Amino acid sequence: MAFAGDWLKPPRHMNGTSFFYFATDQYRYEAKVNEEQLKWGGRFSQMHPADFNAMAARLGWLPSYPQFTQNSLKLVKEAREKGLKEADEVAQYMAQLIKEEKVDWAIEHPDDPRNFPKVFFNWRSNLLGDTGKGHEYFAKHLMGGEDTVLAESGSSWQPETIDIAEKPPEGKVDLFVSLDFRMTSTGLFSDIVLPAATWYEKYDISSTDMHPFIHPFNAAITPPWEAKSDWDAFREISRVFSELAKDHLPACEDLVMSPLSHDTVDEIAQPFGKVFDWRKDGVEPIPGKTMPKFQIVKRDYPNVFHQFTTIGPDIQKGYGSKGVVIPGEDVYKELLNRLGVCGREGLGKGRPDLYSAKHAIEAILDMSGATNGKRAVAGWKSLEKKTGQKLAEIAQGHEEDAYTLLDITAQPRQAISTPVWSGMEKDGRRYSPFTVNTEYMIPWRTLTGRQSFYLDHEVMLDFGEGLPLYLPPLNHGPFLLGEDKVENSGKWLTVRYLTPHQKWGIHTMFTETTNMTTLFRGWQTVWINEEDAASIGIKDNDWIEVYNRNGAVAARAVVTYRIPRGVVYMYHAQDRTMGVPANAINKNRGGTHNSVTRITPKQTHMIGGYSQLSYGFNYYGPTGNQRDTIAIIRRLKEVDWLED
Amino acid sequence: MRIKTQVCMVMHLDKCIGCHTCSVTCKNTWTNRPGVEYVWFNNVETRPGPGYPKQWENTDRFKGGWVLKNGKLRLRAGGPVSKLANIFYNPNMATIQEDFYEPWTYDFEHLFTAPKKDRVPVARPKSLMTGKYIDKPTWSSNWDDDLAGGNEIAPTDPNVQKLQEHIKMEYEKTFMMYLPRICEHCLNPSCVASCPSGALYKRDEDGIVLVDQEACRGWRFCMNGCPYHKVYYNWNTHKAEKCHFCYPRTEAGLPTICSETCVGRIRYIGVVLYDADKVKAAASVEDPKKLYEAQLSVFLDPFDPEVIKEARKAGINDQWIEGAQNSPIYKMAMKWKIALPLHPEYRTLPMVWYVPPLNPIMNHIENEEELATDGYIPAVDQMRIPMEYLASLLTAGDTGIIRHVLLKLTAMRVHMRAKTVGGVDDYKHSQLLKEADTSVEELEEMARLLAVAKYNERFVIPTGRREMKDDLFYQQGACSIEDLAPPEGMIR
Amino acid sequence: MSSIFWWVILPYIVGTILVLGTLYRFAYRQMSWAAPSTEIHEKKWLRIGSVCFHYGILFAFIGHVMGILIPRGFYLALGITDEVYHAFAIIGGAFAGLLVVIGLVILLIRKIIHTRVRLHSTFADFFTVILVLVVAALGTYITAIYDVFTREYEYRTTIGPWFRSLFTFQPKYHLMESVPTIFKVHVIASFLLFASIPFTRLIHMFSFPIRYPFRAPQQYRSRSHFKR
Repeated sequence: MAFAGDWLKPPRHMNGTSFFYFATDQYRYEAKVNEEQLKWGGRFSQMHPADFNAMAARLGWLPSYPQFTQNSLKLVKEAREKGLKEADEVAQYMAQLIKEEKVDWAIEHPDDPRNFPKVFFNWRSNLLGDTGKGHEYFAKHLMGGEDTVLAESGSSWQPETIDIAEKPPEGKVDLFVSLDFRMTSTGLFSDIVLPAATWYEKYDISSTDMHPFIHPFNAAITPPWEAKSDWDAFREISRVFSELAKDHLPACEDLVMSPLSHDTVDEIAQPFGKVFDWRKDGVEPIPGKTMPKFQIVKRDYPNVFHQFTTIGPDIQKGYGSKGVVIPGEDVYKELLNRLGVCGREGLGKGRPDLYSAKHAIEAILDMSGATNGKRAVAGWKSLEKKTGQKLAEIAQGHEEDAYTLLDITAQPRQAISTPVWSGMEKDGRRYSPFTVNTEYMIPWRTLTGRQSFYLDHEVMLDFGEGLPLYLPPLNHGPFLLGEDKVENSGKWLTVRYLTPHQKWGIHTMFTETTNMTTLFRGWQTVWINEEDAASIGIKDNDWIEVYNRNGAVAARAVVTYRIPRGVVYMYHAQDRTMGVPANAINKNRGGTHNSVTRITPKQTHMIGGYSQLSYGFNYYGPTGNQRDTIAIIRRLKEVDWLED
Repeated sequence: MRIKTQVCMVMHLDKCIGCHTCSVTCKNTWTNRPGVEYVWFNNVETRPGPGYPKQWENTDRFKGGWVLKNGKLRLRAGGPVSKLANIFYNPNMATIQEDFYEPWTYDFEHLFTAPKKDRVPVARPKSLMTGKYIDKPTWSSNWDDDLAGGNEIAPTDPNVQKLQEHIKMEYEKTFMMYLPRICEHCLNPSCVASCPSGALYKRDEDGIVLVDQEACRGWRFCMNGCPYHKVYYNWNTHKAEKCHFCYPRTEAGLPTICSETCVGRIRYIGVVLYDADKVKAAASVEDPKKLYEAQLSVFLDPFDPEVIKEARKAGINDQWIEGAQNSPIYKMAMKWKIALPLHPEYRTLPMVWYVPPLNPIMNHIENEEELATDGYIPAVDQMRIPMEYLASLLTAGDTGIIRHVLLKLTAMRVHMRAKTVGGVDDYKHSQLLKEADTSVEELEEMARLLAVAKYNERFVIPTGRREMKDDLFYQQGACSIEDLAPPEGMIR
Repeated sequence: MSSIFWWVILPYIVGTILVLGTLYRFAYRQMSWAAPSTEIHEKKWLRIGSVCFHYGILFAFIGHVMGILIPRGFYLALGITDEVYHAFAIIGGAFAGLLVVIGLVILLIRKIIHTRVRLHSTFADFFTVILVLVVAALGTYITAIYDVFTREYEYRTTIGPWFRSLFTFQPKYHLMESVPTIFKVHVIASFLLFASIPFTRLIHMFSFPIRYPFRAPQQYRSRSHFKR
């Protein structure tokens, strides 16, 4: 049901790290920082991360969106016009086009305006006040807003295979829409802020695999004014979209390029961990083998509303994740009963109704093994087939459990054990990963079926990381040579800058209420060792700024002897909407905790098509590590609120 | 013998993670109103640190609690006559600006109304007392969280100032603990004695100390009369407010909201029986270090047939007697003696008890893997500074009592570890067990209550007694639209 | 006719308002019955202002009892001559009056200048302070200046008997006709002040906790005994 899998597959999934690395032009400001490690290999470890990411996309290791500079709808149309009927033929045709360089990889042309993310829909995320690593690059290149980027591409390490425009594009996004009930910085950057219902105004469910409970959200009041629940907001957008599509965007075929994926046969597409780049290593580009898969998806734009509001037919073919398949025939019949039959004229008529959030909740509760015992058993049976082990007994005794929204409203229920959810393992044991692997002889999802300590992929070996390895923190300065033009008359100190999760919440969770913002010292603050602070004339609660080539943040100092010298802590997500004055460097608003950081991609995370080293959405892929930030801290001499 | 019942609490400090959930849920439930923004019935202090309000333990300044003058118990701030003479100005009272903090919020509205500009707008901090912008907050209820402020703030802790040895606050020697605090609901409350209007009182049936909002005239002597500084002045209604032990919840058999929501499950609630006739004598013991023992002598053994007989005579029903027998407080504070009262030297006989934390000490042990059972004794002894500090908080400076409790807790750890993963030696004949003056059975009982006890074992709260004089049948369904009609109806 | 209004009708209206208003507030507005201290906001100036004012007003009250409620004959019977009485009254009265005026001026300035105190003061608070100040200033003027420099007015033969006659419901209003205007204004302003007592912070004067020294330090109360 997620990503409309009941109607069409595959979805267009992209890994965020790579997307934002290119969309915010951070690849322009790369620095060679890990000189010592670079000495070990050479073939891959010397590659610029952007070049490596482009290679990962081309070899089918990672997803890559936008796909090509050319329109994917038109590409399929051209193939059809050439008389290609089968999907295979179209895929072959695409491979040929790519080989002959008749289409351009968008990842290699990020500065081409055709590849810009022109319409950006931000749903319940504080992308521009919290989560976006390298905030100032987001502000500059993606949004075209005020920024404090102090790095210069001229002095940075530049990629070789990426086509870079002389003048970096600024403001790639034309329309930025936010749907998020929290008052975050992201809303301030948005063209349109949709009024969103809060937790207490809508129906929803929540769980994580870190605890065993399924929690409901129940509306205490109706959403005030024009506010809508997320479900209703998206549904209404789909309604208008479908209507407009009747005239402007008729049904057509789309080409979707997807990477070699986790828990599928793709895991053995590129055996022995050898890297063969079809562009230069003399192998043929074969979709699904040496390059990504190409699939044709029928886009029925005028019917998106009907697809959104009913359960599609493909559920009947079975569904699941992580390679576990639950048969769908009975599920579909059950859903017709439980959700009711859609009576709206059109594509969805006669299908299980999915009009409201409550429908969606019931559908999820019915289809998930964590909340429906039959599905749990079906899931284990599916894994039995794969592993040859007796597993169905793990969920035994729960076959008749089928939680409804009313059930979990009366009391949050504990999840049922399933092969894909670790919130509850067997016998009420909570979140104890891998115990079933040991007790039921279920092979680990690795090449050997055991826990893997040695990774023999060529890239891993090239980086010297075939075995677990201690790597010291990266040793570099806050600026590259020639970049530091910040006037600095007073005292300052170079420190390691860390942004750990705060004490009272992760990200902006619950911490923007008055009680939480004032429980400690108000926002924003940076912790520093008191001897360090004294050495540059900072006293407790003084205004300070922290800056480096990535940007600057203004805050107040919390001095203490509890943290060691040489480090400053700026807790996550204090959000620049509250109590943040101007920085002294360029008199811009003082930034967020991520103003001083940057995405530091790690190439070994980008490996794909090799057993457990295969991309899986929200499962396996590169992270935007920012832990090795070095910055300068100094007193902020005067406070300018930039208001009045 | 005048038997009374008291609902009370134990907090096990080793389990406190300093998350402040208790403070926030309490605030959201009881003090989220204008006039009490600065009021935290429950707060959590990082120690060493000055606490909230700033340096509340400084009795020279606030003059809270009782003193012994010529063998007689007197309020430190002065008795009724001197209070009446000072009624127009209370020299010992704290102020929001200096001792509490100016509560603030952020000007969120501005984020919506700011004109179009090059720079993103910002919600500036704004005082909740004046509605005016403030440049930056300078104090809060938890300003020194996790030793924030370092050497500028932590040494202002009155307990630190009392330590014989000067402690150097530095990274390598950091020790830290959390101290969650609510009203102590004392057996000999000095706030009650300080109230000129008689608005403060101790409830007969559960010992909860309350402020009668109609009788309070706002004289404010309770604020500093309480040595724990746990009575607050609502500047909007001009009346005193304080923690009321969530009596609407305890009357229904539910734990206080701070206990209910405690993430570390550090809190225990139960009832104890005590002899009200012995309170005054116990509070009047000469040597402050003997006050802890004296306080223990006030409590009655709920299993003693004599006590049960007397209790019934006093109108205490069987459920409450049974509650006293199953009380986790009775076990920890009176039977095992591992929970101690906060600042017994104030002579108020406080009824929130603390199991001292072992962690500040254990964290300094480096070779725990190889340590033999008796190796723990010198390990505990060597940690002089934390031990003296704990003694200053909990035993009027008597490190002997602290040492004994810590050894007992250590013995429990060693024993339970030996039981589950095998010990380094035979602890049964160890010096540790002897010095801790305990038995294996007791240690296991302790381990169960301290580590695995579930909700119903941690909270043993008999529901409120309703067999009393009210005409409940007549009052059923009555609502308290007090301005229009008396809620009790007309028949009295 | 006007003297009937000022010296008969007005006093009884004020008396009625005072008694009924206070009873109403006692019965239905207990929650608002408090000494609305602002000490929590500011201490330094309150220490001087409040102590001056309150002790001053206590002395002034005693002075008024001595001058208005106790008849001249009582003093004469004791052998206290008019000269001795007046010397004592002028010195004592001036001292008390000055304490009150100085205290009130400090409190008023504090109320205006100190932001938090100002913001937490209502119209009634300002009204009260200003009215008390007016009454006190007039009284102090009468005692310390008028009586000394203009003439020593013997109010114990006019205002005193008239005021006492109010309680016997035989108001001798004609006694007031010859009284100097400044005294009349002081009396009328005082009556306005009396009328405002049930509606302002002044109500706290009735709750001086006189029983406090005589009660047991510890108070036990049972839930069901409450309000019974």
